[in-house]
Amino acid sequence: MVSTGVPSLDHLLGEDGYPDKSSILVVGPPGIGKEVLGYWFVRSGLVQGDYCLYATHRPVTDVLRDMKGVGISAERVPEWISSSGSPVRCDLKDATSISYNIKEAVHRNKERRVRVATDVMSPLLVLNPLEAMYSYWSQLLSDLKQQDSVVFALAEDGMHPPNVLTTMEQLFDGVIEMRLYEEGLAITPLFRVKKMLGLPPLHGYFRFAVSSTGMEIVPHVR
Amino acid sequence: MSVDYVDAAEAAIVLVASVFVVFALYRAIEFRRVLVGSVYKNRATWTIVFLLAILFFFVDAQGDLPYLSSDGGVPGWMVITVSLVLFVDSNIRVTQETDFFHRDTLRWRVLGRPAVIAMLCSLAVTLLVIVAVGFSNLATWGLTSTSPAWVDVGGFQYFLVLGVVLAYGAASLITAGRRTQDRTMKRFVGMLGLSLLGFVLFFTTWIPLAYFGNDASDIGSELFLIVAGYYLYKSVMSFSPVGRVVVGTETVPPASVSDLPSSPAAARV
Repeated sequence: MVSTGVPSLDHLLGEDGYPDKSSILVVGPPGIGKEVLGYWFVRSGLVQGDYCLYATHRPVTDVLRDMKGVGISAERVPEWISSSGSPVRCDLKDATSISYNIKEAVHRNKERRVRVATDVMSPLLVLNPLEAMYSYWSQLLSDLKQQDSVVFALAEDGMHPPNVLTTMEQLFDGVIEMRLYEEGLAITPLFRVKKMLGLPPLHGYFRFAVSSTGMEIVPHVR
Repeated sequence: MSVDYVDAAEAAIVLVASVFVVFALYRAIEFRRVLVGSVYKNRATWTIVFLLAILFFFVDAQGDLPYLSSDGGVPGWMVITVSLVLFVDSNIRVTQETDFFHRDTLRWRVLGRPAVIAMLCSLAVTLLVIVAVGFSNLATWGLTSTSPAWVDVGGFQYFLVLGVVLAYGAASLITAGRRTQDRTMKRFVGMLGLSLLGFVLFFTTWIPLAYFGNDASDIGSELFLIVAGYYLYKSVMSFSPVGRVVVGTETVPPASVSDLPSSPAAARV
């Protein structure tokens, strides 16, 4: 099992976190804090000595600034595939090279446990036909799971028609949804585990809060 | 007697528009509380400031607050205009953030900050002029033929700079909004555009409506304040998709950690 980096989420998922050799998709609108889950996932891997790869369409400086903002120091950093600031560049117009570079990096570290976090799914879905992307991600996830790796992908809610994300969710072993909900006049950020490999369905919502000391997830009671 | 009805109608219109703005303000505060990304929080913050300025404008339209009155409300206008520019700036930064290619739309990332600083410098000059003229003369400041030329230039240069910065900001926001793949963002830009159109119509329609008389002109143009307030509210609600927790579906009852299997081995199938 692979720690999520967030103790309350580990507890929610049965103390240990994400299943080994699994792929996790986190869906949510921009700004809600999906990336924070990814940062803590990577941070946890770095602390445990796992090989961590962060494939992002953003510049490394932006990601590091964000990490710092949620209390994650940059003393340990993952290997980057990014739009700028990394030796290996993330070119959104060349999906094949992204896939190749990720697989190449994972293969080079096949002796270690691997964590891959990426936010390139949404851009690639916008730029390519759904059918092509379904095959692309199916192949990539399958190849990565051949190694001892856990893949953590982010998808932007509000950027795709609903059927696109529903289709992509099928490829993943775990799907976590983060959304804002209206309850009366208040707006509440809620979290839902839509599915998780090896766990019975977890019905219900959880409230989450991000602070500079971590992320807290508690059951949401109306 | 008819004048009373007109006043009452005007007050009702402003009240309805104010209610929309208050709701928008409340939602902006809520979004600021729950959103995590710094760019998104920053947008919510400047939206709050802008909405407070709009609310002052509405209240002032009825109450003639000191130094905010529509006769000589230069400081009030300045607060509104500065908050508007910073509001636009924060929105451009969000649209650039949601652009996967992180393009610097119309070079706003490079030129936006100097433009805002230039506007603030221009504002400082105007404030110096105001201090020199004296607050008590604001009611006629810059609007009479007896004003010295340096007063007119010192005052109106701000509106020139503001116009340039706002036009640049609006062009950047529209371009960035068209480029972003985020449908929520596109919706936000559309709603904001309709709201600003409402304000523009409020400021302009009184001229043609004056043909039908002063009362019709005032009430007719002020109706656009409701349109502006409504779409301002809708634009704030477009910050992020907001769902509803559906009662009676698979999502209830709320999960409880204590319901989960105590041992991972038991939990894993």
